[in-house]
Amino acid sequence: MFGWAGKILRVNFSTGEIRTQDTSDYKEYIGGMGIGYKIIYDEVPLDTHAYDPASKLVFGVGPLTGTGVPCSGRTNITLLSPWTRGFSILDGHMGGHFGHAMKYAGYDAIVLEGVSDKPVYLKIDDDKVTIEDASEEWGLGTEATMTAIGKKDGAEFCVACIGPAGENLVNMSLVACSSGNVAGGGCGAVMGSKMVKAISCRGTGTVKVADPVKLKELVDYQLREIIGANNNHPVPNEPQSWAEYSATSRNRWQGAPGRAIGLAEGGPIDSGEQPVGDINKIAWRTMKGLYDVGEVSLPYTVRNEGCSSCPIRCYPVYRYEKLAEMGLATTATNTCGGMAKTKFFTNGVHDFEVEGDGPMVVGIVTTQALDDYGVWTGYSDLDLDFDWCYTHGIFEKVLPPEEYAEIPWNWMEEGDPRWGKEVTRRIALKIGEFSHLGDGSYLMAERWGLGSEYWDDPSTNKVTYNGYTKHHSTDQVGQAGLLYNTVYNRDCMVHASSSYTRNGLPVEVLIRNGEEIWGEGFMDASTKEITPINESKVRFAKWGVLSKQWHDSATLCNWVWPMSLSPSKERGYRGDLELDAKYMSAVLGEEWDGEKVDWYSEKITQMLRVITIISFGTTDMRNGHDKVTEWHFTMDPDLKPFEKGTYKMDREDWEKSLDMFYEAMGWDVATGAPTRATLEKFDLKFMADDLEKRGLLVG
Amino acid sequence: MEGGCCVQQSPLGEEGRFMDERKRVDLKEYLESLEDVADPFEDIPVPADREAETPENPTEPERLAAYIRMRSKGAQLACRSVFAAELAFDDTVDIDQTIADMMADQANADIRVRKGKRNDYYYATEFMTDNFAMIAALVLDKDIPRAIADMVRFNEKTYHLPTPAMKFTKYPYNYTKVQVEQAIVALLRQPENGDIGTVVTGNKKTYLFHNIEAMPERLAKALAEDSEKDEFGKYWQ
Repeated sequence: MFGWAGKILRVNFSTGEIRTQDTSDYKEYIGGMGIGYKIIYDEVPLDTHAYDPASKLVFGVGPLTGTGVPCSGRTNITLLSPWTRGFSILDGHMGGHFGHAMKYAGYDAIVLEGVSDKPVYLKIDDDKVTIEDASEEWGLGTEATMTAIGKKDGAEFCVACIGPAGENLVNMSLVACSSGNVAGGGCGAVMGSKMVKAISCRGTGTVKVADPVKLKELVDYQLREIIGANNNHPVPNEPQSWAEYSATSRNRWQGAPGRAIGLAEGGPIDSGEQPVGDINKIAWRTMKGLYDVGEVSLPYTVRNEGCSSCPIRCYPVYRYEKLAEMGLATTATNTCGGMAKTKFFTNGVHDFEVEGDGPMVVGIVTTQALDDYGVWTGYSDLDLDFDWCYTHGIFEKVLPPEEYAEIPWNWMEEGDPRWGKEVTRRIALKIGEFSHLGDGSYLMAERWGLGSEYWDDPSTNKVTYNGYTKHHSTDQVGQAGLLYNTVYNRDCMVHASSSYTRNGLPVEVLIRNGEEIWGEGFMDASTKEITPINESKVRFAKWGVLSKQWHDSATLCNWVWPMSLSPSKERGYRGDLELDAKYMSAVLGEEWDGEKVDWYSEKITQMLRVITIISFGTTDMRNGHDKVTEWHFTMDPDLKPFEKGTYKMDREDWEKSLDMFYEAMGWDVATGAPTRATLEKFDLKFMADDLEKRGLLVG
Repeated sequence: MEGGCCVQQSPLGEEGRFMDERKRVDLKEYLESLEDVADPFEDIPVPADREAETPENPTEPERLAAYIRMRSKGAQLACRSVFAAELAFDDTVDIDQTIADMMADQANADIRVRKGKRNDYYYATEFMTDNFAMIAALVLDKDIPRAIADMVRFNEKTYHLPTPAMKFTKYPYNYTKVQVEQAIVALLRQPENGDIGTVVTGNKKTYLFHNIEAMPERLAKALAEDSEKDEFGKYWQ
């Protein structure tokens, strides 16, 4: 079998049974998310609680992972949600090296079933799979767990593990691997509910590729001509001599002459210029610390880490020695929102050694603690919720007085970095009422009686009433952003569209190139000049959804993919959206094109929709699951929708946007539910029949 | 993170040892220890690796062209005022004629000139783009108010965005904060810059904008605020 490893590993921790299944049964679902959805839909009653022994946790990868395709070091983890309204299906995703380890060991998916009667970890040594005692590791943080199991099993093993948060069934929990690479969505607690501390995996095999010469040509082509920096941003932030354009506002290509990694072994290394065509300089483009934290990060950056098969290297490793004086960890690695932790410090942070280093310092401490304790913040759901609750006096209302009194609020108020660790500790160890922040926004709001004053406050960033934040939404892509944000059961993790519209290329170039794909009017002139919805914007929204489903199934990084643009002036900055299909053809030895990729993506999207409908118990997605929070229409009270200076939505325009999007997706316009015709078009007749039996099929 | 996981097997064959315990292997030594294999892609040219070629016994125009290309490859413009000194041309060499002969040669079609206030700046488009040359020329002209005003207009026209003032403290401008602040004061006083405005964001960052119909002040302020905030609505530091 080309691409796929060939086996799905199933481990039942109740019975101790370990067996494998042929992946051929699931190839029509591609891998990763697709396989996860199929397995859970088929085998887990959708009203099963996430922590029930009957629930399952599916670690999945796709046929492109482990083949050498750039940016394929991803693992998708599918579960039933323990924390969002409807408790429906969702995914966590992590980078690092675990996905490759799984594939080289021979597995396309690992399904955790049942519950162990004592702490265990799963050891996978190619085809030797055993359930090992984890009583010594239970209670350890993720860092110590990786070290301990690594010492037991060997340095070649990649360890994916949970921390105390997962063990204590904290809803907002994660699975960590490869130092700072984490999968969220609550998968840590699902694993913890099964008493499974870790999966330790070594793979010494290979992934078979049908046409390795073609694959190599494609990789070379992609690296020389197509790939940009993080989020495939195609222009450098600072002018470079080879580059026609550079970004005026902050973007994700931050490498430039004079910007050096300060703590590199042997002395600072200047990132220099990174011209298109020079594949050895790609890793110097992103310099993510500059985007996440600013120039202050440079003297404290050790190196840029990354995932298997990735040239982008978007995980800076920071080291701040002075933290040792406070008994805190001095080193951390993370990216994007992982470092943006000042929202836990409502009163702000102060400088430590140099001007502006406060956010970096508290970021290092907090992200290290979160990853180690195994607490997942969502797309800053947790920290935004903390900030809101503190600002609105909620903790004073809901915490017992004695608990409130013993929390060191002064650490937070003084910008003491110990606060980041303290918040994390309380949540992970479920200490007191405060720890219910870790229940997730929906359950926290229910418990603490938070109503519209919370949901409809733009500062909470809640996109719907389901309990998660917006992610590259109206603030970046107008109506298209909000449309794709409504599709999922967690923050959407769709990067394709915002990576296209906000990357530093001139608007004229973006519009010219994009109109060739999506049609005239697909994007607005800027983020604050929203125009009414049109068919092209709807196509652009749908493309964002389909890209994400594909990349979480194939498994590729959905920050860097798809290759919609290029830094090459000779190409007119045009990317290659057929590249996914070209790789599938080379790897599988089959004929793939973009249409086929989209067909499978859409199939998996329809599956998500069906499962969500069953979880919510209603076909009326429009007024239930998809209902967006009021602040989208009430923000910027001095401005009207469509006025320059705001991305405020217009109600009528939004209803029309939903009409058009539902139609584009083959869903009933009134409800947003898939029709039988649509489901059968995607070979999902069995799902249509199921919906009909349940009285949940429209039309 | 101290004590990492997923350490690859040492190429020296040591197993089960962690990075901090294992003898560090020199990458070049390791690569040289491997057998050579044929590289089917070795003929693919890498643009940045192509040397600026100088023919044997070059003429003055050829020497001048090679010099310009070398400078461009190093992200530098070549200033007409230093050609004689840099290339050790003696008094018998007519610089203007040398330049004319160089530019007339089809082989030098990639060489262009930007006429600045202080100098004529030459560059080779094989290594340097027109836009970068424009910026570099503005910097070398040492007219900071003009450089800022011109770039603000260019950025609005090209990117439809206001320009953060502190952009000019970065490469390739590298002005100091004080220089930028003083230049902004100066340029706003110049009547020819009546189309340039400033807005200040909530975190006290100054942005300049080209105040035209497509970029009214309210929009400039909104876009500036947007640029200063992360996806969570908080100001970047």
